[in-house]
Amino acid sequence: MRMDLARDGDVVIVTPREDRLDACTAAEFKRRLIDRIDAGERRFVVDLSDVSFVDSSGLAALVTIMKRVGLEGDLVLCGAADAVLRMLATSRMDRIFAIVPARHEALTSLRD
Amino acid sequence: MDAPDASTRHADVMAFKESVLRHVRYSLGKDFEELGEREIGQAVSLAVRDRIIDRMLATDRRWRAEDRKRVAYLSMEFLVGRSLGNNLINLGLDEICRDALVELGLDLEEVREGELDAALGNGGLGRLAACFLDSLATLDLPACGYGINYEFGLFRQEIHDGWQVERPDAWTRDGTPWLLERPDEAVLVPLYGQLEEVDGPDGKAESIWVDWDVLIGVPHDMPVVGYGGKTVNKLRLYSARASDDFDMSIFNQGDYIRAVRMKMESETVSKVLYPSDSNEQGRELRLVQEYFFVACAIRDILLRFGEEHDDLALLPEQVAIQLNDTHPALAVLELMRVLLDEHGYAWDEAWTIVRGCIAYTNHTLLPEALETWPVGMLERVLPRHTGIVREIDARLRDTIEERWPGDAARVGRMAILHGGADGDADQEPVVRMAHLALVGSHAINGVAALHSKLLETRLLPDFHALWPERFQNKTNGITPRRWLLKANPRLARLVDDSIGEGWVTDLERLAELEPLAADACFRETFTAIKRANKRRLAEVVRAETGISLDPHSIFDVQAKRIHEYKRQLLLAMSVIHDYLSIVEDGHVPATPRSVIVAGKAAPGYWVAKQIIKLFGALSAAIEAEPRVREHLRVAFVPDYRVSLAERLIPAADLSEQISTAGMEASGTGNMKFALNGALTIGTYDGATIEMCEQIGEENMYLFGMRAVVVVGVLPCGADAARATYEASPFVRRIVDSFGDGRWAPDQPDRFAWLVGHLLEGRDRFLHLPDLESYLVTQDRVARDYLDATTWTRKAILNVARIGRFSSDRTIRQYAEEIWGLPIAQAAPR
Repeated sequence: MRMDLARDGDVVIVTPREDRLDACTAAEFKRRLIDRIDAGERRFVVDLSDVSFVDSSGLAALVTIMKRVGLEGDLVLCGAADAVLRMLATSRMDRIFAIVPARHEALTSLRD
Repeated sequence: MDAPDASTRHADVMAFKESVLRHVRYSLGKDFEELGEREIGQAVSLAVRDRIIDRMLATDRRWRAEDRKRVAYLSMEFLVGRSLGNNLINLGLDEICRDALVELGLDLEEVREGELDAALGNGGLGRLAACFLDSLATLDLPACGYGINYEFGLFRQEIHDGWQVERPDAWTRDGTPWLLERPDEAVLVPLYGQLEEVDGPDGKAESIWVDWDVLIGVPHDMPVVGYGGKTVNKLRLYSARASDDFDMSIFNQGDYIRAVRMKMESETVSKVLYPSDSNEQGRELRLVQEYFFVACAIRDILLRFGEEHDDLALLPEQVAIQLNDTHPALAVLELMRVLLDEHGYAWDEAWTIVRGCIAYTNHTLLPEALETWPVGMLERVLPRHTGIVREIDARLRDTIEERWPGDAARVGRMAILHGGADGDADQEPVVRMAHLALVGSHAINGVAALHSKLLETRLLPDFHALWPERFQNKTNGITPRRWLLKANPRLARLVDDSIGEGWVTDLERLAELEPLAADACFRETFTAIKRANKRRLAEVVRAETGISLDPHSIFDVQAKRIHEYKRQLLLAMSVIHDYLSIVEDGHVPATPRSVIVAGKAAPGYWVAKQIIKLFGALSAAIEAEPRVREHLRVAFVPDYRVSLAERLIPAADLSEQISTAGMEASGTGNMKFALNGALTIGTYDGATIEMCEQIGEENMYLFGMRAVVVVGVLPCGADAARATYEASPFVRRIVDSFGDGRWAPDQPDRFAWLVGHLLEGRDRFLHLPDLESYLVTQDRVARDYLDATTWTRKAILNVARIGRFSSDRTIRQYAEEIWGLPIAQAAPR
């Protein structure tokens, strides 16, 4: 799976470079982020700007990552297209994730 | 419609011809000379479609500009039939098309006959939906039908050795020009999975829906042309597709076969229409079908609303959602889910919006036909929706408790979730879909006055006591465009010539025919038309069954789904009576009779299939008995469908509407036959009662127990049946004939089961208690038919007085009394 990882201070910015976050890509996405959590990272922005479709496997990966980050960490989603936002809402996952429109807003929210 | 001048008309004919030839070459890629019959039909239909699409786009633009309230008619079934002929008539293009085809050496009738029926329905419910769409467009009302694009419609019925054999009906096998695929408007439908508690950012636990599968709903639009061609609405039918071409994770693991299988399983959702009357309990695919099309429809409705509005609280002012029976009742839950989960509404606000939009039409009083779904299955397929229905049920129980404190029995009767610990502990808990639909609607209606009354007093009396203002009646109707103008062009022309064309959009104007019932010349023409229609049907029957019918005999027709409550068996017993009277008593009937039966039995409905076989057996016995066959013929015409109905109904002298009183919700066949000048022999049931009020009992043949008597007789049905059997030698002879092997020489005990069935209390439809009354009435029919003048006068009065039963009237009532939708002044009348 293609994915960019960048850093802004103590925040890891994760940008999947895939059209779909689904059964085909979700496992590797999850594994690579859990590697970072296991390495001690606790603050993440996931930029979904390139993702046009997310299925329940993709959403399940995000939930797993959020659980591993834990209450003491932070995970903010940004850049989600309407279709992705709708799937988040359909799954009621918009209630458990912090979701903002753009990356800079995600970073600002974490600085605040 | 105004007639164009000759030069304009010629130009139109030439333009149409060119359009056909263009489609032959550029749509089908062929030379005209090498076309087959189907391809000719396709080219002609495509030429018609061009003209429809322009109007459809214009209509859509107009609806958006006017921003009027819109009707979403949700139905699992739309029994459309053929489209070409009806579209031509409604566009006012039939003569132009006919002439253009003559220029090409083709015959429009033959081209029309080549079209396959869109049989996306079982019977009356689906055909009603199709009639309603015709009226909505004709009345210039913004509306869209929503349903499923079944790859296989209702099975094709063949008769082999008298038995029904089901064949698949691949109605789009050769492609259909009438469906426009809209892949760009596909929607995602999640289902299955489970709810999981997860802590949110603030530490508060939230219930999320995980591990769901997703289907893609791809809409296909079928244009619905209103009469006059001004308004072209859409019927939007969804096909299910897998979420991707393959599940790539499986595919990548090398399991190609499993990936393909899973894709095919997803697409089975829109594969096949379920036949009615089969045991639908436990059929998960049917539940998935219901949710699939409802979810697609709700998504489409909200997308359309969102294009013009951003405050969903206004939804009830902009959208009326009509549920055609309980099959789309999951719309209540889906709209709640979307409002709560996707738009963040609080429960009470969301509930107000849902109830403001939705209304529900009930179609049956038969307890076995009332839909329920096991809670366990619902939870597996739709875990989030199950949580919502539990909450709706809990709030309903609170409401009942508040109104009738401590009345646990009433709570049990009214609750949406029934069984398990709450009801019968041994019964699997189920969701009562009629209760859900009613609770989630601002209006519930029956489809005939008697039916609506029985809804209030028998089926849902507790709900009527709680919310009397929600209960309404909307007596069904039929579209005169399909059922007279299209089906019976000769009679339509006679009516046009006599009173003008206004009746086409204002059927009550048929009343102007009434004085002509006394006009000998009119009667003669009317009779000649009926005779011509009978000759045409006789050709069809001969081609389909090999049986020759005499057009001078009375054509006695029963055409509808085969079901015990519709009592085709009563007609069969009347045939047996006539047969035995001729053979054993030497009694010749007053007039020769041709009994014509058509209808499909649900594949799993053993009794219904036996009844079909019985008609075949009677037919064979009659053909083999010279003493009988000059007085009596029986033909079971296979594969009853809309296009066959268009042949049968105009040719009928006598219309059989003989259901057990209180069991037929409305019926619409009764109206179609009367509109075409058949006299009704029928029970006091459904809309036949209201027809009688209009037509006059002296112009019909009503018989048998009324609904109120049926209720009293039912508990002691066996006693009543036995008493009739003992008292009447005729009845006894008929029943005994089932046991003596007369009708099944090859297997003498084949119909013996009927003896016990009719006499020992297993007949819930009370055939025997009504049989004598029916035989006496049939005898009266036979004698009356001899007086051709009086018969024809009555037939004309049937036509003249049936105007109230136009679906235009029904839709006006829905629009004004349920949907709150003003009908534009410009709407044709």
